Amino acid sequence: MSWHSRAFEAPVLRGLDAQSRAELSAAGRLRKVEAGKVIYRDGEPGDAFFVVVSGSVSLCALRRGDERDTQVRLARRGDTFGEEATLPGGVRRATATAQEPTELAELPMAVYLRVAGRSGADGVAKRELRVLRRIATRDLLRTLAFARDLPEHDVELLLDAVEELAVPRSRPVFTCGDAADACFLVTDGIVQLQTVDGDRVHVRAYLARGDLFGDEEALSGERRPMTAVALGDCRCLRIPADVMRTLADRNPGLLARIRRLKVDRHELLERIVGVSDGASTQHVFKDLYRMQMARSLLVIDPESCVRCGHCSWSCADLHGVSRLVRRGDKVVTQLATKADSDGTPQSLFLPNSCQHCRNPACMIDCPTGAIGRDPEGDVFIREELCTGCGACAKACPWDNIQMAPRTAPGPGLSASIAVKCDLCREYEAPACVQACPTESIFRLEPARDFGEVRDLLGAPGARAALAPRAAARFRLLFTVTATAALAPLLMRLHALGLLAPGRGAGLAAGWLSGLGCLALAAHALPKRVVRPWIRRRERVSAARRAAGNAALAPELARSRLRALVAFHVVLGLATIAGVLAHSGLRLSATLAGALLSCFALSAALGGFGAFIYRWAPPRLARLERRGSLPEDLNAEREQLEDRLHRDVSGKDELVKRIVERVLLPYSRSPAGALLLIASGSGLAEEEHRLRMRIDAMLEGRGTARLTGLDELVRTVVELRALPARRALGAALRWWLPLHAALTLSLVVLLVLHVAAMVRW
Amino acid sequence: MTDREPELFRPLLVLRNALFRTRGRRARVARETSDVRRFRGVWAAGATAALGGVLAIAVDLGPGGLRSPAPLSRSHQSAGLACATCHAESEPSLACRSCHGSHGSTRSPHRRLAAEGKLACTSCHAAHGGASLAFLPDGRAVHRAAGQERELGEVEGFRPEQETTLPLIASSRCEACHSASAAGDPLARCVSGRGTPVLCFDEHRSVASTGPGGARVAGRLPERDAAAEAARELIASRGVVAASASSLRPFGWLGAAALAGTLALVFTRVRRRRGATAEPAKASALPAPARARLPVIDATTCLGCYACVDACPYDVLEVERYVARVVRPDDCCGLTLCEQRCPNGSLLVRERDAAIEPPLVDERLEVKGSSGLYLAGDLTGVPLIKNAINQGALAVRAIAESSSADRGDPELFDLIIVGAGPAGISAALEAKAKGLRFLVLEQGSVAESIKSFPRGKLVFDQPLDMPVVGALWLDECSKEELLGKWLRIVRREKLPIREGARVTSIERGSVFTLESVDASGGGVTERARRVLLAIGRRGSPRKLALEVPEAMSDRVHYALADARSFAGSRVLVVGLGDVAMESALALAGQPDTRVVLSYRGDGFRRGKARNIEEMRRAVAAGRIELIWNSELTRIGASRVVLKTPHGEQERECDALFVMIGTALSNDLLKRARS
Repeated sequence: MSWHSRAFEAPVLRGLDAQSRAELSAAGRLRKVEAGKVIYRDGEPGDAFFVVVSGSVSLCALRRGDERDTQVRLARRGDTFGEEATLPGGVRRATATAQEPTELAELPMAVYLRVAGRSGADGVAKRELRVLRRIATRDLLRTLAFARDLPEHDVELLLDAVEELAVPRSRPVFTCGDAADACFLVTDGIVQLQTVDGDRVHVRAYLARGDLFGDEEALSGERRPMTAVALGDCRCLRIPADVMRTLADRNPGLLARIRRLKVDRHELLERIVGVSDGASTQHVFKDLYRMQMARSLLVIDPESCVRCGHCSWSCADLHGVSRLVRRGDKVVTQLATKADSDGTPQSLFLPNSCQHCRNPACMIDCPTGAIGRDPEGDVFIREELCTGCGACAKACPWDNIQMAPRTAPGPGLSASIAVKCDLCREYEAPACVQACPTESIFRLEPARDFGEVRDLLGAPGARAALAPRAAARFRLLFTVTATAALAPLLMRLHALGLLAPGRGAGLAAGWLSGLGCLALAAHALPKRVVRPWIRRRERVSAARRAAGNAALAPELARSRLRALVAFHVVLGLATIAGVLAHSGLRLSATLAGALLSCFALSAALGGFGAFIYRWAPPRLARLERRGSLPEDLNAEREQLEDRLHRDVSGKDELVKRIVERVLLPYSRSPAGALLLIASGSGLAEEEHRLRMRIDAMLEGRGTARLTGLDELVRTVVELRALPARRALGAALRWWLPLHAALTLSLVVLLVLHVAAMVRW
Repeated sequence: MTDREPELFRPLLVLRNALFRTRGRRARVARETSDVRRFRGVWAAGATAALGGVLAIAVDLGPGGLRSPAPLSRSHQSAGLACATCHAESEPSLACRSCHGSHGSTRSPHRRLAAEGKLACTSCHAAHGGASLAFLPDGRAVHRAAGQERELGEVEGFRPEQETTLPLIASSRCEACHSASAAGDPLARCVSGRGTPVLCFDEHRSVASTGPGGARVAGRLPERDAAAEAARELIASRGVVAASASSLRPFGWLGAAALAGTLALVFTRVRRRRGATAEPAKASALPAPARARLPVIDATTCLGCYACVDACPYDVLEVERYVARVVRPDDCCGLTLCEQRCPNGSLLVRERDAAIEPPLVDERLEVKGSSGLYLAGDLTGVPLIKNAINQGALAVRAIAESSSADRGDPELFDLIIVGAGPAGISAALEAKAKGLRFLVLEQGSVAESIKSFPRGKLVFDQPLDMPVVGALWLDECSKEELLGKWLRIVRREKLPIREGARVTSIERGSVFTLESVDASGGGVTERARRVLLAIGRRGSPRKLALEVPEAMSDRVHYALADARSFAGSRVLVVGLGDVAMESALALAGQPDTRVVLSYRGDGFRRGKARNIEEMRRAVAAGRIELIWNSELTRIGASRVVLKTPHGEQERECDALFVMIGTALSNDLLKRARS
């Protein structure tokens, strides 16, 4: 529904054709605001700017040196306000309050620029944005140590002479060997200084907002010694060398200050990132941009995740298509969330699930503005505006958006739309987190919760605490021991005839066990029927939001199934004791015997499951380099074999002989996987062991000819680990369907047994 | 640089294969993972298993099986007892007397306890699940327990006239009151294994032959004693006969249940999978467009979403000011990939007025008017790798069908494939699968057109929704990966490919006769029933009309295979197309390599926007020296002479790359058709 034409009379919205108006109406919002209502507050983020259609809005801010808010501006009919927040990393600069009943058009900036650009009516907006950027840069310069004390005149010279560069992701700002004629100041994003050596990248520095780089070679005239690559979409200011020289001449000490800052920064980086003497693929800094961008990163702890896929399943159950795919990178980081963290690095999987970026590439690239953002920062897709073009899916650097069939198809609508995780907006907390039986999946904010990232980027905010799991372990151990001690005693009593199924204590035990079995079987209900207990969220009203919680640090969502699972295990053990008390272990060819055998099998499977859930995940985690699903393992085998063949070609004769005599038999040995599981070692240790073996064999000869052996050793160890992964994965997965099916039969037999007995 | 510099440049981190994903060209489609599929059908399987189990039990259960803790003993079964017979009264022991009579114990303490009501028949005997030893008239002894039988073989010295059964009481029944290990406990004498086994077959007084209820009891008095004696001997010699009340039959029922459940699961999954793949058959090869076509874009509805730009493999379209536009109309191949991807129908592919050559082949890929001659790949006018692969396979299928009738002369090939590119390799795989006798003739090396792509070039597999026909692999990957996979397939399948054999003529008669020349110039003749031309449109590289001295002859290249081997040398590149630009950039990226590029024009005429932009950066940064309006006039040993508007220039040159395009040097197709 298009807005009335009065809404488009503002100068900034003139010149738009009918299609543009339709698109703006669809993407934006027309709001009526009563007098005195606050539209937004100082410091909030925002993606949209406002056009006053009628009425007036007062913008108040606290000026430096004043004690109270003063009115900065009064926006009347046709004026715009709020554009400064739409720059990446920008926030609202003032508090906007309506002075009288006002009608506002709220327009997402990205959509407006697109639509206006198409009609050629974006000149005013572009100039406005340029001015805003200049103001933002001036503010940035005021915060920087080296530019803070520059005289006003020099700052103006600088602002005039700089050129804004927008560098897309993974493109270089400059390349090693280029002629150097300018230095650069990062205003948004992260730039990585690196040198490349073959297929290894040596990272020399990470530069974030406010860092100056490229100045030394610009001033000395030499060629660039390193390459500067934009880790994500970033903006830099290009300062020509002569301007820099002029500033340096007029401000003695400027260069020394810059130099000192760089040395300090490098020391800080070294301390945080550490100097690694080996090649690392899993370091959390391999994709620092992702860590900075993610406001809500979904992580899985591979040492406790039992690979059951229930998270994915519950997402699919609630939303039709699973928006979570358990494939993805692995990072090693120190979590700053545990209450008693001892600083040991922990590996985490990052599955394909939207991370609600601070500067979402999908939102910027969406041609219709279907992707919007909550004030809390959750990025969501509006199905009615989505055309299925897939631009967002292509833009997402981490492949978190996918195309799925439309839930409400209709004529003229595309068959598929883009779907992505929206943190279960209509529900209280994400379903995946709530449904995990072992509480291994949760959402973190890397800038706050990953130790190294937090130290580097300096994000504020209280740490979230995860409950320690030690208590649960003791409880389980106690119950197991108790049951194991009880069992022989009960069987002895039965043999002695003191306990009989038909009377007294035995009968009571039978009733209790029957109830226990039903309760055990009922465990399937909260697991598989998810909608009733995942509650819908009550929308937090704006008034409540304004009242207190300015910094909405959300509580860490917890799993609600974990306690149930623990209860299930304890109840299972108690029921085993009860059944033994009821009937002993006498298996006879009767209905009761069938019931008992069914129960015994089910309980044995359950016991196996509990054991494997505790034992297998840490071993499996040590053997995996990435998160992957069982169906990926075949393709992975092919890839590894291809890689092996490719890496062997062109290598020295000695290496080829080693491959033939040692590495290939190693990867093909049938018991290899079992040995790997039994030893419980990880991939790195196994590589080291194999390398030691080769070195011992060679006794120091021919070390110069061994280039490329490391990669081959890596590939071969991964090949050996594949069957181990498959076996552990299968063991983790396959017992549960059997257990469930047996329990269903158990319930049926139980009902028959009770009916047969009670009929008497 | 001062001493502190090296510290600043020490690496913080060394990453391996750190690749940043740039903007992708296709959107990921949601696929069901095994996580979501895992439990499908488990409810049905469980329910079916339960049903199967119940059925198995219903069929197999002995009498009394529903309520009794163990099956009734054989004797009681054959007596035709029902539950009510014994359990009508509150104390089943009282029912025993109605058939067996009341026979008390020979031991007075037990008699006393019985009188007090503390010891009943069922305290020791178990009608359900009890064990018994039966002596048959033919001398065999049988041990029965929990509904099962076990033969114990022949017993000497005791042949009863009728089947005689002795109940076996487990010593654990006695241990409710007695203790086998306590010294002085009378139980010690009864349990066998300590001294002379005196098993307690002497608990009851011998009774008359029939009781009030007609139950047969152990014969006459002497027979019962004899039976007891025989039993004692048997047990002494064979060891304690375990009175096991357990049986494994319930597992048999569970097995039946499991079978039923598995069948149900398999059935559910198979049915679902068959339903999912029942999609309408899609086109397996695209026909060449009949007229030249161009995309036409409605700027009022175009969203500027880049879907068409990403779909086009030839960069014909670009988005300017948020609206798509055709920027390179000459490169358009006329396929409708862009139209299919446009989300709101703003882009349509329309025909131009200019007519192009009518397609040469019919829908079976046979050349119209020349039966037996087939075409596949780029030669048919559709320049896509996936299409070439599909056409190669489809053409061979058509050939196999058409020539299935005649198999005769062993000297004759069924099929000769000319060209070992994507179409040729795919055709060869299909021909091997069909069992044809075939040969592939290739003028250069296998997949040379792919090999000549610059290092690391991404190969796309449009159109994305067309499946690959045949056995050749294709996916979006780098050129090296693709080449590696194809070469490995060629080696593994041992395809008969003759490299370096350039076909010079094809003559038709009753069969085709092909003349080819090999590298040394020698001619070979082959004959075949069918010929498949998969020679592509690339032809051979154009050469410069200059004499190349002996010293430089192996340093003049027409394709760049691996830039690393040119590190540290001075190279000159002639040409400014995409291939020349990408090669120059790759060479300039090598350490210590000096790259000079000579082009006869005065500006960037053709090529991808990204290549042009990178060339401009490289030239501005001084990594490539670009000489406009220049032509090579002479090639010497390690140097070349260029003619420029400013006069002649000499350049040192270790390697010369001539990348000025390709040309079809001999029109094999035209001559083959005539």
